[in-house]
Amino acid sequence: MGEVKRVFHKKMWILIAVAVLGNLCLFLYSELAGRSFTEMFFAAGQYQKLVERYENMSLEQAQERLGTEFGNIRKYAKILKQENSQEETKNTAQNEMQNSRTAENAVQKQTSEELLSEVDEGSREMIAYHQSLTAQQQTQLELQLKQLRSKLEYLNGYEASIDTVMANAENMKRFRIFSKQNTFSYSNILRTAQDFERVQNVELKLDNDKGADAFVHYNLMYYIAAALMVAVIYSLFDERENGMWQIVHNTPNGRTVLALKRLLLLAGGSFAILFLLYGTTFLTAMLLYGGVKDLANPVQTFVDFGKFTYTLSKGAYILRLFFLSWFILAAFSIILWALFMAFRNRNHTLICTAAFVGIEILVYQKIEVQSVYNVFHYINVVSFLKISDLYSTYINWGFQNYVFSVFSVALFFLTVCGLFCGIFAVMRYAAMRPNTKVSLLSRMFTAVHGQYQRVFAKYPVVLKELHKLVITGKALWAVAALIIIAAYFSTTGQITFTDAQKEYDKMYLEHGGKEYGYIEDYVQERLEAYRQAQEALEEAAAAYEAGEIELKEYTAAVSVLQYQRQVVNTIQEYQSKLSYAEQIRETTGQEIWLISDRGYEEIFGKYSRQREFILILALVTAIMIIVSESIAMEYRTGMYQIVHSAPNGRAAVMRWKITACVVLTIGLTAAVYGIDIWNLHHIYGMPYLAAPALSLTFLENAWGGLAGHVSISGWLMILLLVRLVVALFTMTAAMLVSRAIGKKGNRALMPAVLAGVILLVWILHQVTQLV
Amino acid sequence: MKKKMMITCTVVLVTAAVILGFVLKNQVRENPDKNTVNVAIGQWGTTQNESQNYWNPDNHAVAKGMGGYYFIQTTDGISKIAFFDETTQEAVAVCAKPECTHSDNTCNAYLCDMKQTGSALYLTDTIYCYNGYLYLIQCEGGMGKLVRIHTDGSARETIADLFANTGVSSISLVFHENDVYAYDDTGHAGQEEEAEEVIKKISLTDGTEQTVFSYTGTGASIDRGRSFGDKLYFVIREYTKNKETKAVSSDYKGLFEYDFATGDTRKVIDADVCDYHADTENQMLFYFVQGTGLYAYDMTQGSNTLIYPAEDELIQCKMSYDGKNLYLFNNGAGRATETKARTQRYCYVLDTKGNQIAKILCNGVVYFGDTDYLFEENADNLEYMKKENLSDKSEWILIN
Repeated sequence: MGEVKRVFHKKMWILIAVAVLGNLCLFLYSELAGRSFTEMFFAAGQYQKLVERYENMSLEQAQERLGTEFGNIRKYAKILKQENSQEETKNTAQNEMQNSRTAENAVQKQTSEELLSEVDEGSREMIAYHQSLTAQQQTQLELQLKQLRSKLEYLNGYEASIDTVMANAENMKRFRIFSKQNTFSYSNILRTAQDFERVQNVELKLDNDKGADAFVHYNLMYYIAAALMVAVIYSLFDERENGMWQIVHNTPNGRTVLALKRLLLLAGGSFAILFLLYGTTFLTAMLLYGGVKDLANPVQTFVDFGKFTYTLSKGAYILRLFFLSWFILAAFSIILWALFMAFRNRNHTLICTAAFVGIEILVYQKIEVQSVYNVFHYINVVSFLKISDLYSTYINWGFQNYVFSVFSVALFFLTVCGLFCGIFAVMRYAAMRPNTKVSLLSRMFTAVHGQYQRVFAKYPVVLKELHKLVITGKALWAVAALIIIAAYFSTTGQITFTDAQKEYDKMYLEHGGKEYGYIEDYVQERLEAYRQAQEALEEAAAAYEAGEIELKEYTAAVSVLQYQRQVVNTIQEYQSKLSYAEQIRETTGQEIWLISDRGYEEIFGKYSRQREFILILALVTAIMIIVSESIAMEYRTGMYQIVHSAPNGRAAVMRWKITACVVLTIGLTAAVYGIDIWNLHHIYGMPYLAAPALSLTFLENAWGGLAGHVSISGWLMILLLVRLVVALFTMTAAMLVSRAIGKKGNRALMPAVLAGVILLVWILHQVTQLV
Repeated sequence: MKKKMMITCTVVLVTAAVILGFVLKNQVRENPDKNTVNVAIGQWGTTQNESQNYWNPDNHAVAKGMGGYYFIQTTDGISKIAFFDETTQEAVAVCAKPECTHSDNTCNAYLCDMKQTGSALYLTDTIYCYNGYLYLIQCEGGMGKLVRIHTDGSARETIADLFANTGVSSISLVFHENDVYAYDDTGHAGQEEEAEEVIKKISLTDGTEQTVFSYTGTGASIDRGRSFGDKLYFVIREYTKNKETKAVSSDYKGLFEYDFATGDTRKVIDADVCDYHADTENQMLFYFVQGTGLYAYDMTQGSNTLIYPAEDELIQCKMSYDGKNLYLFNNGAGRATETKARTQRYCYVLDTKGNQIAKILCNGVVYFGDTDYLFEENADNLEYMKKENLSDKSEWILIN
């Protein structure tokens, strides 16, 4: 109980509460999907009413009825719009002719009254209702009708799709590539048929499952739960830094028993956190969309669950999903706890964990599901946190006669991992001593460090502040990681150009640029040569026909034309470029240069987006981590009072700190983008930097036409400047955070602000993609 | 310590028991009472010619497998690996998932969606079957990569980078023992600068590569690579331009032979040979000289005979030999009297004496075939023709 109270203290509960609220906000945000709250609630209400209207019919009847009524609504709206537009224009002389034409058409086409008299009662009712709504509400209603129509198509086709699977299974056994016994292919076919046989008699019906569907597909709560568990585990190791470790280690039940209690705490804590997040999200979904009574219907009612082969109700599935999620979260927590036990410094563990998660994300994205290494795609942190997707997707693995579902294999692996990690963590906790021996190397280092400090004391304050940031704050790790990321991502994913493309680039280099008359002549020559080859072939054909030449000579003429055709294909890029140059000349009056787009598109065009995003994210994160210690460190070490009491210890020191942070920020930005540009220059080259930026076709409309006013080097400078501004902005935010952490001692603020800055960078990245 | 060891051992034993139980539970046994179709097939055996030389070497869109043929099928822009079963005479996607709709990358057979990417991620005219695996070319980042896939489509592995490629089906492969020899059959055709054409040897075990042959020329390309016995054969085509007269000619520089064992290359026929084939059993080499005709060279007697002269609709060709007959496909090139009209595509079927058995009208590129079937392309579809009783009236059958 003591451990529970220690870990789940007031601040932790505030954090959990904030996380729960944040989760609900994110859930609502994901459901808004660009609409206002009014529109969202209206849409939810409309969907419910529509379901109530059609749910008592058979599925086929419902689909037909909905189709008819929806069609009539649209038809009526269209006729009404035409009638209204005729009313508006009938008095203008200019539109008299149009009116007469429209009037003629009106005689032939239906009027709205005629349509109303022809359609059935249900359609009239729906049309009247549709017309009573505002334009926005009508749009929402039509969207809900479309969604319901898709849903009914799925429900109606479900039985047939299961029958198709069974028929496919039988049919596939006839083909030799699948019919060899004792192979995985054959066994998988049998297993699939057995699994789908379970759901052959499932009867689906139309119901209001929007709430449950939205809940089941919402995965962010698992990420939030995982983040909270990281915070819980982190606080389990407070004793390592607050001086209590020795005492705890030496008290009765302070080792193995305490470790076992912490194991239970992790299991219980993950249950409680997940229960809060899961429960509140589920309640919100039900309040928003309703459909509680429909939770008893089969889970296959969800459109994405057409291949789910267990006969569960939606309620049962949601409950099962909760326990599965809890199990996975608890296993992750135990594995992470074991990782923390492996290192003496918990911050090192955090860094390792972050690096591991980064690698997992990369692996998940890069390894295709068809790859022979797809095990790393499915047994992956990212995959586990999409629990519902993993559980509901039907995929099998295996060998010979042994067939396993991917989910069961992944869960099994996690279970075994968690078990062994749990044992390791408990045993390690009991054996790990608070104090270690001071080695000879450590004593030597202390002595050298003392001399170093004496020398360093004479250096300027700005350098000392920089030293504090980078060396004392152990930010060298962050700097090293940043350099490695910059070096790696600026060379990864490079495009290999074909020989033909390299030939084009060589032509641009030698004969392109400002004066490209040579290329114009080159193109004209080739077009002329092709025309001549065509004429020559016609003459050769006539001569061969007349017996004047032999077959060999005629063959030669055919070959020449084939060759010239290929040559014309090779000058298409030049033709396109010349045409672009002409277009720019006509529209803007500017003379562009003829240069290659290829390399620059990799450097700052559409192919550079991912690389740029990763680099700016890494830079921003490193700056936040390093700079946020600039003020907080003094508070933590107790030096704050001494510094503030010293002469020039306030405003002057702050100025030096800011200077140091600015120097660091500029230095890191220069390092990252220096490496980036150096590598890209080495791979792709950067010719014609003085050329107008508009010479690059992909910059034609970029940033509101800004490219029309600068050269390529100018454009590069603008991009660098933007990145520097973002970095300095991050530095400012980090300094403010550092001040807040220091004064209030609230270290949880840093990760929260870091998350906020990362989100901002992501938003900027999305926005720049639209520009 | 002893207690902890006991606990650890107990946990390990229990885990092992649970694992065994889990595996046994998931063992699939077929119910013998069910009325299933059992097809008895034997072990994977080598064909007479493991490297399947009878296919069109530079349009290798079909490959022979056990009991049928693998090919790439494109429907509504979606390309996937398909298998044409000889027994059922039907095609099926190479994906052992009855629940799969074969329309996205969760499917084992799925290759790419032409509509989405704009250019193919896999070369759709290139598929090989060798030693129990399928080999395709994937284009990623402008590089053509050799990908190995299980014959049931279940796993993919990138072996090596081959040549820069943006989705043009121009990379050809020749397999020999545990290596593959790759070349780009488009080369620098159409370009006017000198460039180097190479044949690369890539190990199928570890992907290491080396260049085994290189040729420097203008507008040159290496074509028609095949292996017979312990030799690799190929032709070189080159466009030459007379700088004074500016006249251009396109010539085949001859038939070349590369020795796998010694690594030496030599020219074996110095003539305008556009294609060739070998009957290794009878020691015969058949080759077609552009504009002249088909020759048969008897290696035992040293005699060289023109057995079928070139004609109006057969100026140049691609060839195949299935052990019984020769197949010459004119590729739609050169009809003397109707230069502007669409040239008819024909596949000539000859015996080894040069007697014409059939002249088959074709709808697209002919891929040739083994002793049983002939295949051709028709728009995005594959068609086949049974080789028994071939005649001018033989008809192509569409594979759906």
